[in-house]
Amino acid sequence: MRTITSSFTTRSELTTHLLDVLGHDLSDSEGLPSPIIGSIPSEEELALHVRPSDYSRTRNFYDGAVTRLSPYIRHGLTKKPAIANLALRDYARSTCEKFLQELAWGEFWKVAADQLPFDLWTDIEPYKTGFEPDDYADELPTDIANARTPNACINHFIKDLTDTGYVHNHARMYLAAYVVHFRRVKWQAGARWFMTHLLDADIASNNLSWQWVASTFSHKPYIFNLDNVDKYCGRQVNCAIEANPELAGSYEALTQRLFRGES
Amino acid sequence: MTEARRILWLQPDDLYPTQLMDEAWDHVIYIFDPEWLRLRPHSLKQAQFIVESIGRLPKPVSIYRGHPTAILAALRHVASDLTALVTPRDNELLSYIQSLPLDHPLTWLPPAQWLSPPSGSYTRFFKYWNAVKKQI
Repeated sequence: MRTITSSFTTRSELTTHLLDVLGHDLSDSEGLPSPIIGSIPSEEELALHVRPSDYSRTRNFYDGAVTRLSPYIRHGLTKKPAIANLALRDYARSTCEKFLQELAWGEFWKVAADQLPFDLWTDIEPYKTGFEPDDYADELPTDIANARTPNACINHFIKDLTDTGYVHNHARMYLAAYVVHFRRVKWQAGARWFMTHLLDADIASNNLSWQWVASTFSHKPYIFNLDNVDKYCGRQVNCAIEANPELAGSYEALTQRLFRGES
Repeated sequence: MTEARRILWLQPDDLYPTQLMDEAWDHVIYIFDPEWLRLRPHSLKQAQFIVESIGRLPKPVSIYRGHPTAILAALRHVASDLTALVTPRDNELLSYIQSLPLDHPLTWLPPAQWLSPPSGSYTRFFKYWNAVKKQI
């Protein structure tokens, strides 16, 4: 039994201490801490992040008005009722609808997870891609783990994950679809990867979201194309066709290329 | 008659439970369990976020690396008649803790809940949303 100290002058001193005590237990003993600092957000800080009107208009954009509070919510450092009340205090109910739905997604995943007759790593339904589970690879390819895929935008999102532990929700969907459908890797491998890095990693939300993208918990597979990434992320992320050779094409062409028969 | 001494064992799902401030605790702890970290790999980023957050709590928390069975046994010997924890939201963590060979029972505290789960089965979000939105 060893004691861990949480009080240090600098973050790097804490990092050194954690690597000393926990280094052998962690998945990335060579890693760096996230720029997102663990804390208890004050009401003033929450108010800066809770903007339901902007959220409803811009949430799908990489620089949209999402709260980025999920790591703090995930660890109970701020509570959903407080955030919902803050939104409803300053905005009309109708303005808050999309924002409140977003808060409720995590609750839905938890309810759905509790109703499953098996664990959260089992396919809930068959893939609707024309492929069987055995057609998908078991392990995450190293070029994905190391952000060295042929696609600049995908590598950008991977670095968000591995360097910060936070990824915009839309980018999470892109990454999940890329892993499962473009590279034909089992969703479980991607879900494990996310669980290891995300500061807001929640087993129910994470694994069921991966299943939703994979189509084992939805009517059809979720895919995207480069035009979609460019529309929502093009101002911040390299979406040039020559830098993203696997992702360009119409949805019809990608469906033909990625799936077998009717999907 | 001496009063019972009480430990609150914080879990990653709720590092700042309402019970932390609403009830009296003699000792508040967090445990990095190497066996759980093997089952559920953690990055340095995640571990540092947790430790930094614990450092900001309004009450002192002792953080340990080790097996909960041994740590709780040692603390019980010197400090505790009762060990309580907020029931984890994470079903895998809950099952793991329930499987620990502890030498005394844990006291399970109710987790924070925003929306009460509706009756019935829900596999699609908007059916769920329509069932719960009146709670907000």
